[in-house]
Amino acid sequence: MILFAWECVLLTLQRKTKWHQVLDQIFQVGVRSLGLTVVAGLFVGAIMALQIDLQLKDFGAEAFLGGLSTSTTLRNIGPVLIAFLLSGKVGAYTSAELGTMEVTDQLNAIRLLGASPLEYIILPRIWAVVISSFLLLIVGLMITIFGGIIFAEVIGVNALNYIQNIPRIVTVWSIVLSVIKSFLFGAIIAVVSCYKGYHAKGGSVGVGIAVQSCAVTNLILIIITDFLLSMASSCLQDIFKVGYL
Amino acid sequence: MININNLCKSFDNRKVLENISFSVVKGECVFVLGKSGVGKSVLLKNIVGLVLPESGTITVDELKVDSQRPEELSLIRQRCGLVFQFPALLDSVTVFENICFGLRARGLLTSQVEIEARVKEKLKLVGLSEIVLNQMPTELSFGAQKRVSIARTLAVEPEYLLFDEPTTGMDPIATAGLNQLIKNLTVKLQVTSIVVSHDIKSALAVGTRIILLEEGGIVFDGKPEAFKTCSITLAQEFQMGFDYHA
Repeated sequence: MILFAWECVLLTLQRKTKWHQVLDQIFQVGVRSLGLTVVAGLFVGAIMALQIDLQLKDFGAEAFLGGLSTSTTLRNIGPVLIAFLLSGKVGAYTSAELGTMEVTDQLNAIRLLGASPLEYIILPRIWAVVISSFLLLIVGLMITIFGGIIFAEVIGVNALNYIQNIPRIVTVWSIVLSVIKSFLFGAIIAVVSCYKGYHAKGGSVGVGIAVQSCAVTNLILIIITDFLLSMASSCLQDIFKVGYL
Repeated sequence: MININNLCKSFDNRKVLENISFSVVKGECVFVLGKSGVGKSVLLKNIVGLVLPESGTITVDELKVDSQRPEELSLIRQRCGLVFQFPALLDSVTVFENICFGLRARGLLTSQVEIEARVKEKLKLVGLSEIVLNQMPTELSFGAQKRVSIARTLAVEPEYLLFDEPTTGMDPIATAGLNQLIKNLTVKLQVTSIVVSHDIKSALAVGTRIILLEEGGIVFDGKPEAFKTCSITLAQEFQMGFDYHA
C-alpha cells in the first residue's frame, strides 16, 4: 500500500494529475457527503458538550465548558468520528466503484486502449478524496463547535460565555493539530479505499471483500494515526514547554 | 503474425493452459472452442499481456509479450484489439467518450471532426444509431453495450481482433450481424481475428480455422470442414449440441 501511495505521489510530481477529473470527483464524493458531515458535526459537538458539562458540574466549573469541550472535540473526538463516517461513506463508495471497475474489466479495457488506469482513474480519485475529506473534516469540526454552542444554550450555559471561553483553552496548536489530523485522515481514506478497490479480485464477492477490508483498514489506521499524533503532540509539549498543545 | 509457443499458465496450482503452440497468420479468422473454464479467455489475455505466461513465449509481429518491455507491450496492445466477454464500458462517461477513448489516449486522431467521424463510422458498422452517442452505457441494453464495446475496439483500427465470447447475451439477429461483421473484416479488410466462443454455429459459418481446447491442450486444429468430420469426442459433442439446438 505504501508503494501504491508512493507511485501516486510520483505521478503527481510528474504532473500527470487530470485536475478537471479531480473536480468532477470532488463533486461526486465531496459535495454529496456535506449533509452527512453537517449532521454528524452538530451531534458530535452536542455530545461532547453534554459529557463535559456532566463532569464540570461536579466541580462547579461550568464556565470552562466552551474551552474544554471545543478543545477535546478539535483535538481528538471530532476528527476521529468524522473520519470514521467519511471512511464509511466516501471510502466505501470509492473502493466499491473501483472494485467493480476492476472485476468487470473496465480497468483492463483502459490498459488495452493505451491509457494507464493509475493516471486516468486512480490519481483523480485519490486527490479528490484527499481534498474532499480534508475540507469535509474542517467543515465538520467547525460545525461541532456550533453544535456545542447550541447545546450549551439548551442546558442554560450562556452562548457568549461559552464562545468567550474557547480561546482560553483552545490554542493555535490545538487547531494546527486538528488540521494535520484532518489532512492525514483524508489521505488514509483516499489511499486505502483506492488501493483496496484497485486490487479487488474475483467478481462481486471480491468487491464485497475489498469494501470490508477497506472499512476495517481505514478504522485501524485512523485510530493508530490519531494515537501517534496525540503522543507526538504530548512529547512536543514536554520538549518545548510551550504550554498546552 | 501471432505466434504462441509452448504457453503454460496455472492458477492456484491448477494447470489451465499446458504447452499451447500455434500461429495465426494475417487474414485468418480462428475460432477457439472449448468447454467453460478450459482457459480460452486466459489465452486471449495472455496475447495482450493482461495475464503473463508462466512459461513459453508469445510474439505478435516479432514483438514479444513481456512485462519487462513496456514499449513493446504498448505496441502489441495497439495492434491487438480485445473485445471482452462483458462490455467493460466506462460507466461514468457517455457512449461517445467510450468509443473515442482509445483514439485520444493513443493520440491517433487529434481533430474533433475526425474523431466524431470515426466514432460515427464505427457505430454504424456495429449497427447502432447515433442517438446512443450521448447516452450513458447503463442506459443501454446489454446487447447494445456489447456493440458499443466492439465499436470502441474497432475505433483504433487494430490489425488483430480478439473476441472473447462476442455473441454471449446477444439476440439471434444481433449475433448474425456480428458474425457478418467479423466475416467482412476478415475478407474485405484482411483483419486477423481470434474468436473465443462456445458458438459452434458461428465458428462453422465464419471461421477459417477452428482450434479445440480440452484439459489445457489443443485436441483439434484445422479447417471447419475437417472439424465437421473429425472423430474427436468433444468435437462431436459440440456439433451434436449444435444439431440438437438446430
